[in-house]
Amino acid sequence: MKQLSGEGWVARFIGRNDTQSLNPMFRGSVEKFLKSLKDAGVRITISATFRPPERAYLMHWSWKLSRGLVKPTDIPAKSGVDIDWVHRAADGKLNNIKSTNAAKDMVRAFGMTNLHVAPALNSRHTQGNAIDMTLSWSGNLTIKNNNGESVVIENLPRDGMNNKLHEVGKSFRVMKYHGGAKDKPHWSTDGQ
Amino acid sequence: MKCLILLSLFFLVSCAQATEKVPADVADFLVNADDCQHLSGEWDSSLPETQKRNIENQVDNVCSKAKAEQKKLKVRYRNDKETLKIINEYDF
Repeated sequence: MKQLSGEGWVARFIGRNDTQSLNPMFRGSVEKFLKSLKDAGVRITISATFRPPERAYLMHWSWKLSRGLVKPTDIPAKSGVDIDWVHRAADGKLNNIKSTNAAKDMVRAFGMTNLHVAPALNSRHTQGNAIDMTLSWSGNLTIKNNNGESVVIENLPRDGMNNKLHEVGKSFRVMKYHGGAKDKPHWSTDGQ
Repeated sequence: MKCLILLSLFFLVSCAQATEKVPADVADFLVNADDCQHLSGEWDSSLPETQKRNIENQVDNVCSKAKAEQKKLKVRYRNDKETLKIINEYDF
């Protein structure tokens, strides 16, 4: 049974920040890298790992509908998300204003009012192939790569943007985002 | 077997040439378009406030450029179907 769109949908599919929710192959790599980081004394804060595709679907289409970029009747259905984007008047006719307002409520509840692009339907996060984490340390860092070799990192910055640390991550098949400082906390299977 | 190898080689060479053929202004657009697409998949309400604000700022910067470039390029390459197809692959 379909349920009408609205704020209530926002809490149904929650983004994760644990490694258990990652794609098994990537999870293994990430957990090894995290262990190496912890053993070396790196401070780690994980902010995001897996985003359910259902959540991405709700975010994407509510954002588009709220801005009049799609008609509620044209939004494709998604398996596992029994949402009805089409609100109707008492006589059964399509009520565009109600449909759009419900989408606006969702956008507000998601906190997307300052986001000026439609959230993507697919990303490395929806595939379970990405992790966002903030890393920092003090002084020189001595860390083991995936071959068990010690790597001494003396250069700046002492955070996740350090190029030598990127090489260490690469040895675990955890690749830093190739777009540089545009997305500092992002690591993934392929740097995307 | 030899045919298969030759066909694969031909396909790889064709793909490489297709990438090289992209005009410089389109190549610039693709960098911004890919970054914009990446950022649009990053934002989530569960992220820390600073990370959300950072993504929003990057989106405003990168995606605005990509949108503006796309608009111009659609006109500039309106008679070049192959290039237009690449430009139209992005929906911001």
